[in-house]
Amino acid sequence: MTDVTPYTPLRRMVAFALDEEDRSIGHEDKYWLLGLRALTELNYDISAQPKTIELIVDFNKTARWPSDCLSWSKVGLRGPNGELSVLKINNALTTYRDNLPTRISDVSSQVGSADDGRPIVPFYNYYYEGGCFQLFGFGGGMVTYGDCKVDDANRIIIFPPDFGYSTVLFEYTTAPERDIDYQVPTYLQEAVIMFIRWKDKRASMDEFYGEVTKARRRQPKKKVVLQSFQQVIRETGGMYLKA
Amino acid sequence: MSVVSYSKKQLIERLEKHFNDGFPGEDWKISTREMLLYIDQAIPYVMKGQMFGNAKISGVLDVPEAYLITYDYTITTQDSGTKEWYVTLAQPPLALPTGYNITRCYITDPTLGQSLDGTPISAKRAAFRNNLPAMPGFRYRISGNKMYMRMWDGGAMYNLALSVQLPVSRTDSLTDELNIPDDAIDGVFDRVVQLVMQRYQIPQDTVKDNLMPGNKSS
Repeated sequence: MTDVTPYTPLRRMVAFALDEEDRSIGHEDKYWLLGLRALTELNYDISAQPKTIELIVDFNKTARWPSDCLSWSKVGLRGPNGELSVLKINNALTTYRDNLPTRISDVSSQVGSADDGRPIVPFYNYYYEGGCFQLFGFGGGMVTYGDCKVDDANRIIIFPPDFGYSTVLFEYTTAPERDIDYQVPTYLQEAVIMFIRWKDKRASMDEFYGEVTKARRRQPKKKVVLQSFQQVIRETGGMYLKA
Repeated sequence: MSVVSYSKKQLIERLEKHFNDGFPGEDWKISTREMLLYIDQAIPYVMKGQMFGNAKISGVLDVPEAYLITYDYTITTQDSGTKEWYVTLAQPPLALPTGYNITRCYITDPTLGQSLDGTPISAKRAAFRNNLPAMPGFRYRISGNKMYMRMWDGGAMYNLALSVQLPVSRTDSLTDELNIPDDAIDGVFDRVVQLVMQRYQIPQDTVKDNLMPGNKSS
């Protein structure tokens, strides 16, 4: 039997803070709200857990983000050997009327397809029929099974009108979830308490970030998912810090 | 077990003997109810002094446990406008900070036992509290002598058994054990004497020669 479990209810962390500060029950509500703010901060910075789900591609060739998605890292298809085969991010896809059921007809082409002389066979750039060619202006990149673009503002993923798959895998970082109360990873406990103390003017910002650094080092996987690094994660499958 | 039972009735008798140098006669003007008013006024006065005196030593504000009484209610009434459930307390809580004016508030159940305590919401936070996420459990706010409660998920509280613990100054019973610590009796007694003397200017036989006050004719 133990009192130390991998997850601790937020209310217990609040009780620890109240006890440490010799505060009464009168501060419990305020401290719980501060604890929730701490959890939000820590979730964005260090502790968000990645989650992968399968999204249905609607008839207008869009897929809606789940409600608990804070930021995304991968969109792809189920590949061989249980792997996720990422789709190419094609920012040329337009987000015009992507929230409407009439999207496909609304984005229908106004111009004819340009004939670029390519044969209608799989074409590996720079190599064809045993020879290498310089094709200026023709981008490279890994082979993918389709394109997509993520519309962050509308929280949807858009696909080209000819996208041929009915579902996609979506990997993202989640908002904290509650099961009655928020269940917080125990390695964040001291950081949450220090945040409460800091916002209650009883500790400093430096002390809080000191606890955050300690908590990050205690994480089971030292994987930091930051907005600016998501492109790297998409193409390498992960990024790991030494500390 | 003490030989002497300290009750408000006994304190009133003691005060009356003090003012009358004996048992009060027919000319004694102050009724029991009036004496209770003075006593009920003196108790929180002394209690707060003790609270802050203790805080100077320990650095922590706390309510001395002897002043606390727990009242049991069954929640049956709901405000028709706000849908909050409410009970009427034995008295308006004392003017202490939130968390000290009511020290505990919890639900009890014969099968499940005691719940986690409800969360008090101070008057200044009540206005915007509904704009913020709700902590699990129930929360309450005080308005006068009413306690208004709400479950975090809006659930019903009808027929739940509620227990409320708070420091009490008013009188439920003349004969029940006085809910003040012994080291407060001195302060309460002196305070009541001071208030009554200010009000009634009762002459005291300070010389103790069994003669009436005033100049002697002989």
